[in-house]
Amino acid sequence: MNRNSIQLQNLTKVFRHNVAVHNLSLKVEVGKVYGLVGDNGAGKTTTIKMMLGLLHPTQGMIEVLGYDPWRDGPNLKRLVGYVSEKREMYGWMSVEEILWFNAQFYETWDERYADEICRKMELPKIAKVKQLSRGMRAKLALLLAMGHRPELLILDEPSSGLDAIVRREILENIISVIQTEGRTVFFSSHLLDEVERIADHVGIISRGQLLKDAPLEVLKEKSRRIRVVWNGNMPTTERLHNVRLMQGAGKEEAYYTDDFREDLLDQFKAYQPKCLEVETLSLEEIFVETIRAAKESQWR
Amino acid sequence: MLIQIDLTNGVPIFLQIVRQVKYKVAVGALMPGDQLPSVRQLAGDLRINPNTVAKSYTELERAGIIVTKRGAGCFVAEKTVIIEKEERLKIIAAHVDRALTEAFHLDIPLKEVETLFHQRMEHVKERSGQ
Ligand SMILES: Nc1ncnc2c1ncn2[C@@H]1O[C@H](COP(=O)(O)OP(=O)(O)O)[C@@H](O)[C@H]1O
Ligand SMILES: [Mg+2]
Repeated sequence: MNRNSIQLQNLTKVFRHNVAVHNLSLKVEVGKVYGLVGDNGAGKTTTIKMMLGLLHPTQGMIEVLGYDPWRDGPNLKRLVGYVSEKREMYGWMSVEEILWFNAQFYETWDERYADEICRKMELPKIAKVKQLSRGMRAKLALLLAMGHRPELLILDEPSSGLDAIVRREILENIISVIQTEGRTVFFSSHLLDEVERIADHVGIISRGQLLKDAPLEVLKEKSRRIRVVWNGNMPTTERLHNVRLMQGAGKEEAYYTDDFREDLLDQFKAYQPKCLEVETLSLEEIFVETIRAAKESQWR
Repeated sequence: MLIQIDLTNGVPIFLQIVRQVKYKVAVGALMPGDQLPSVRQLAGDLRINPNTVAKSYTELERAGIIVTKRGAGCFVAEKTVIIEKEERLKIIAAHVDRALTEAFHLDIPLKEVETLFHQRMEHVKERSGQ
């Protein structure tokens, strides 16, 4: 058996002259939750569409559940649940009809399970899809992607543009999928607190490049903010290694590192600061610093 | 069992759970023999990855705070490994440190913090009628 549900190797997608995804490689282990985070236009949707065989890569290798998505699309489709960014659906159908319609495509469609989720999410069965609220549509899209109990659930910004209550329900459903042994989830998001709640592994993408790709735990363990209040004499920033100035000028400064070790503090202590503190960071802060560092290094 | 997750302070979620359970045991909010919610239940309640809950339970078990009974679930350990004094003091020390840091940033001299501390102690004593 394959240990990885998804494997991307040196994946590149060029639209005319626009490099949407650049030399991207990543692996998603079976049973893990991978969260891909990045700003608008970073390349998340393009990456996801290539994983599903909806876009042809300009270069690189893709394997999803052992298949090449471009060649084995139909085989793959049976095993994957997908919620697209736009959550497009036939508006003229009722909820009941679209569920039935969807069931026809999947041998493994589990009517009882689908009914149960439908009830839990309070989806009105006789309403037409086009009459549903934004939140209801999002819930329905998720249900349609889950009803055949897929091995792999791929979600493109599953809760963007939704209110807190709907986001909560969506999250609860994703968690219930994770609870089932061996199911893999790949999702993109720009809501960092959501990613921090449910991801095992995090990828940070910016301008088509994967800047970070690590278990969330490792990312959190290695990232720190070092706060320092200098005591008169202070170093120029270039003299401090493996840290970047986050904020502050003058006596009080905060530095960021993505590779923290205790001995990193020695270079600060050498200046006998008044105060030296080390703090953990939220994923949101790690994200912001990672993007900022990439932009700065591009300037140089 | 009430656990609160704070995603702004940077502390990993699994560690937040470990600390809060330890704290609850230390102050007696959880007693020896009390059952903890299942991994599935707590993950659902907190809307977090079940692997994270499982990891914190493993850590609590390693620390002797809880025991897992096969098929029955997780329980607060019987052998009242009620957190050692040292551990409890550590929790308080962290709070004190935070107040001291804050005082530093607000330019309050240590001597005044000390006076304030005694004042507050008197205040608490009065309130609890000691
Ligand atoms: N069909 C397309 N034709 C041309 N450019 C595209 C197309 N789809 C996406 N792009 C461009 O590729 C980049 C990445 O887009 P996308 O993958 O949608 O990012 P994200 O999902 O992270 O917001 C953007 O610059 C976007 O304008
Ligand atoms: Mg997108």
